[in-house]
Amino acid sequence: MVAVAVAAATVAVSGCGASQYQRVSCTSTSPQAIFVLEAQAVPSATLLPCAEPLPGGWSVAGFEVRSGLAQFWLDSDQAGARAAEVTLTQTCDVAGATPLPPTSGGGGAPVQRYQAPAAQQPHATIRYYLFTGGCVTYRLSFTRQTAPALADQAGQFLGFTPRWVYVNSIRRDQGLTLCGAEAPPCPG
Amino acid sequence: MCCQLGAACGKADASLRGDGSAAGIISYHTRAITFSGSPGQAWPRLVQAGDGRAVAAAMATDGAGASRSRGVTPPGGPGGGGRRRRPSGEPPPLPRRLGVSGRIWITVAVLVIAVAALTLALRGAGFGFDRWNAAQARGVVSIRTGWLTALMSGINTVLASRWMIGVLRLGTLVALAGLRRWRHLLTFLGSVVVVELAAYQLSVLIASPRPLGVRIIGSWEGFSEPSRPMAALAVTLVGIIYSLVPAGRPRSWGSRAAGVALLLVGFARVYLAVDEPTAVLFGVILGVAVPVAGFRFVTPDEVFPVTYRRGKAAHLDVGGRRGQAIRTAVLEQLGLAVLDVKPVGLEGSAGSTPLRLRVAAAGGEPERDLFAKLYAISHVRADRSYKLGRTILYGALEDEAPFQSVRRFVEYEDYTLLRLAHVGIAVPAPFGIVEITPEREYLIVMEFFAGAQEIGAAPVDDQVIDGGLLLVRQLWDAGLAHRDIKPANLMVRDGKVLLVDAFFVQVRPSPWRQAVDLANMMLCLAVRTDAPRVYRHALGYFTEDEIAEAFAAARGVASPTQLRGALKQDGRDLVAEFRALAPTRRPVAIQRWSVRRIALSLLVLALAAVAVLVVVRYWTVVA
Repeated sequence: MVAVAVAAATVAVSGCGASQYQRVSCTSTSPQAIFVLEAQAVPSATLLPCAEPLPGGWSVAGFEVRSGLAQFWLDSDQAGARAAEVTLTQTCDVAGATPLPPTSGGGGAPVQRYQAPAAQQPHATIRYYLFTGGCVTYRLSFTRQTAPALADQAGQFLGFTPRWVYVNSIRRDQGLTLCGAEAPPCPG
Repeated sequence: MCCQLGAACGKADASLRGDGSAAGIISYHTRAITFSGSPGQAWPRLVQAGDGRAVAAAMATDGAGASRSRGVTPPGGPGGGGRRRRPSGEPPPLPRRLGVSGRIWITVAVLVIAVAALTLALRGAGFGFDRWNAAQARGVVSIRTGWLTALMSGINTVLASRWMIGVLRLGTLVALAGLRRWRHLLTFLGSVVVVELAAYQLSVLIASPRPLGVRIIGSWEGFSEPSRPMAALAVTLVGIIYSLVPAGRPRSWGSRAAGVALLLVGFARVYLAVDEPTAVLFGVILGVAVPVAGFRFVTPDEVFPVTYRRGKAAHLDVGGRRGQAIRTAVLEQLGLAVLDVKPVGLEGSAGSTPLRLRVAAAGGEPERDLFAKLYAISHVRADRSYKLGRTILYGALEDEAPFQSVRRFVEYEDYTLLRLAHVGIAVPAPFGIVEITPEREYLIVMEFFAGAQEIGAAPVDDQVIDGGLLLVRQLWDAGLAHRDIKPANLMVRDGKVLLVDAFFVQVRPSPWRQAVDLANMMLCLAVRTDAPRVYRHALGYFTEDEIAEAFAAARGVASPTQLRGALKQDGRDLVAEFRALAPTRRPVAIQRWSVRRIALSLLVLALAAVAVLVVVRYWTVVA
């Protein structure tokens, strides 16, 4: 009975935790567990995607992290649910994609950018961000032609945090190793 | 004719006079009663009652004039024959014990709650757990070798995969639906949904990463604490064990097998570094504690046994500690030495555990059988849910209130037996209530109708027909309804009809209830004879209008399941035959509406809707 009550209470109160945005915010003041999990999902990735401060009408709706993939998505009051989707994987297939001017991720790491041809997804915008050990696929459910204002906003959401930030944070706080890129080799 | 005695006699006696009347005294407590009888009276008539139990003993003299009330006398009377008052502070015959597993699970659950709260409240405590987990994980991964890694990956892939767990769950649901164990099915489904939701929400709340400091070599999903695959596997295996495996040795072996499976998968997941040791432990605790609590509460074995043999429920524990407690309690509280305890008639009883007690010869009585019904707290819960369902389905005609305790259960049955005896109806003489575990288990002991046959197997002649109809007439005249008239509750001995199972008796029932009793009795008799003959006899006790009312009331669920089965097997449409014989009367409506019924119905519908929505929403999680 105790266990059942605890389970029920947990289900009931679990919505009281941090908001989804706080969980994936690039500017969060405390290290967010979701980024550690992202780092474990794609241990080779030297950059971890995060969400910059969102303009009005946008909200982080959810995330999914599993071995090999980390993803979070945003809803828009204009473009609807899952209007923007950010997915981190180890590699991306950028064959046929158009290169865009490179940019830099958190800490100045170089990031190659590509955009999928419109013919593949005529009603969506797909961009790839390639960096050492990882790739972020940024998928918008609209195009600059159909929603120019939203496209401008969406261009500002995506941010990156260097992996070493979390590697160092965990080493400092817990004395443990976040195995993977930017960290010493782990046993096993 | 009447005899009257005063103070406690220490024994009971009822004797037959030369003119065939019965007179006697009964006093196996501290007061005496008197009764009188006269030739032609089927039962001694109570003149004055001091202690109701004695009245029932007097009743045990049946219509043939043969006194059976001596059998009621406990040897030795008060303070004798092994009777003993339990002194203050001494434990009852069967002290309440949670059992080893119960204590372990409650302790573990409390510990886990405390630890989880500590981890959430103090960041440093969480780090401490991470370090401890990392140390354990390092120890385990240090033994990684090629073949062992392949083996552990195989175990994890096969046993902890969503596919395998989905197959197990769907197979269980199909099996339970096929076996029509709806209560078990709902409990299983509910446990799965609760565990899945709780595990997911807890993992998000705790937000613990995967093991740190070791290389992860398996696939995983989401936060680690508690381990959702372990919780999912545990709730599935425990659900299967509690819903499909009979209690006792099979369930014990099943639990061990499940334990081994969980241990293997847990070790494999730590070995592969996809789960931390505490995550595995937390997941297993959650996955076991929820279904164990759910099944023990909603489908207790005493009431809803898992069995594959008709008529026998191997789970019933009247051996071991409980068996010994029954022997001790009956000896100390009734002064009867029990030689043997056997479950009897289990197939017809969901509301209690019926037992046959073999008691030793004493006080001039030979060795004989007594009948007893063991009531436990689980029966009270089952009664509540049964009545809730009946109230919703049939409304105000079922003007019955649920019992609040086991004590009230046995007290009520004791009372109804005495009440029926008081008005001269042949029911088993109650010997008294025996306390096994205070407020949790009681035994009501009564006469065993030795040599009696169920009416469905006994020859039914005019005497039996009259006896059955007279019985209902007596109930009517006394303002009572039996509410469960069916072949299994009507015994015949020496041409006399004896009524058993007085638990559903109602005082001042609705007229509909009384009418239904008459119809059911006439149907029981007609199944063994024919409708015109029973109808002809019934006119000697009831008016045509009363019989018409009975068959206007007796529709569908108004008849007990066993009687409906007997009618179906008989093949004749006896209800239609009786209706044709009686004057025409409009059917009595069964469905009655009240504010309470509407409120209860809406509440249940709302809960069902929520349950369906949850299952639909999380169906992918469940399956």
